[in-house]
Amino acid sequence: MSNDHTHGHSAHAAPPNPYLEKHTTPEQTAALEQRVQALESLLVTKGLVSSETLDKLVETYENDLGPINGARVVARAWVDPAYKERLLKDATAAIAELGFSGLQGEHMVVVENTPDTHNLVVCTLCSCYPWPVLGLPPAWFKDAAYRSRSVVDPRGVLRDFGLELDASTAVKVWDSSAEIRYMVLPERPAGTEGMSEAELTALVSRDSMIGVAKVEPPAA
Amino acid sequence: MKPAPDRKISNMAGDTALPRKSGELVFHDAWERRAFALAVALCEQGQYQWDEFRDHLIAEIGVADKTQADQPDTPVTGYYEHWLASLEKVLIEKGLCTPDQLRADEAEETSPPTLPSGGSQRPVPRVPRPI
Repeated sequence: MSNDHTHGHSAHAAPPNPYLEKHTTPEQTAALEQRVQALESLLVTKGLVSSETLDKLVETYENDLGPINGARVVARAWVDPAYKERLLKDATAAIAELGFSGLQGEHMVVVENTPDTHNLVVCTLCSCYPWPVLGLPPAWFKDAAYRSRSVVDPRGVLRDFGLELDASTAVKVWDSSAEIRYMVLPERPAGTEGMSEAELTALVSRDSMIGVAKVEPPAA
Repeated sequence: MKPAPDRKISNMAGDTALPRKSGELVFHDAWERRAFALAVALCEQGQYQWDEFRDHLIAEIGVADKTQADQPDTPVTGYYEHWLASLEKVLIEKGLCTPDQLRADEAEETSPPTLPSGGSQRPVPRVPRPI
């Protein structure tokens, strides 16, 4: 998955971690498979878990780890102007304020969408991505076509995502690197004035924080 | 709303941090996924607090690190092996499984397919697995 990390900076991945390598022999693996299977059957028999729940849970953690963190940052910025100011000034610190850590030395920069300016985040060299706040990068983010086309034809890319911008809206493209990770602060949609921070959090999509979508107003 | 990962779990720090590569969870084998899901599911159901599980994980990893430091030749034990051992311990602690039941599981994995004739159904007690 990371074979295209051509500008290999150490900040890309976690520091050396012995657990990233597989250590078990095929025999040990088979024994462990059996041990876990037996444990699962036992717990299913006891009515403590269902295999279906387990499948869903793994899916949640494998595919959805994190974007909620970014959504919380956005919702806070929408309801708290002082927080928003801190976020745009020093995103790394402002994000840490909410208790989200896990960044490995790289700086976060948050760029704000306004009626005049739309921001789009890309990593042209590989797939640098602020995963502690946005979770796993979507497959297309790592796609060579997205990476190259975002720079030369951002409006076309946005159109492909179903986002047609007014000709008067300027598009700024932010190229992530090992040192700087960008996140978009999307515009707060109309009709959300009475919503709580938690309700707002639920509205914020991952794509809106990459800049390929706007936050949709709540369904009427 | 979609179910969301629990930050207490996804953001564990230090030695107990979930192994990840570029943000993605690293599972080497199917059993690691299952063991992960079992521990998280039982916690979500309120069978134990996450910290109770994590305390075992910290202890397991601590012991292994110390062994590793004392005897560098010791093979490295994988993260999810520590995870599984911690899960078994918290299950016993909470009375959700008996040690016998877990040993029966293990006996199944190690004993020959057929029991010797006249053999007892009771699994032979095993010494704890070396860490």
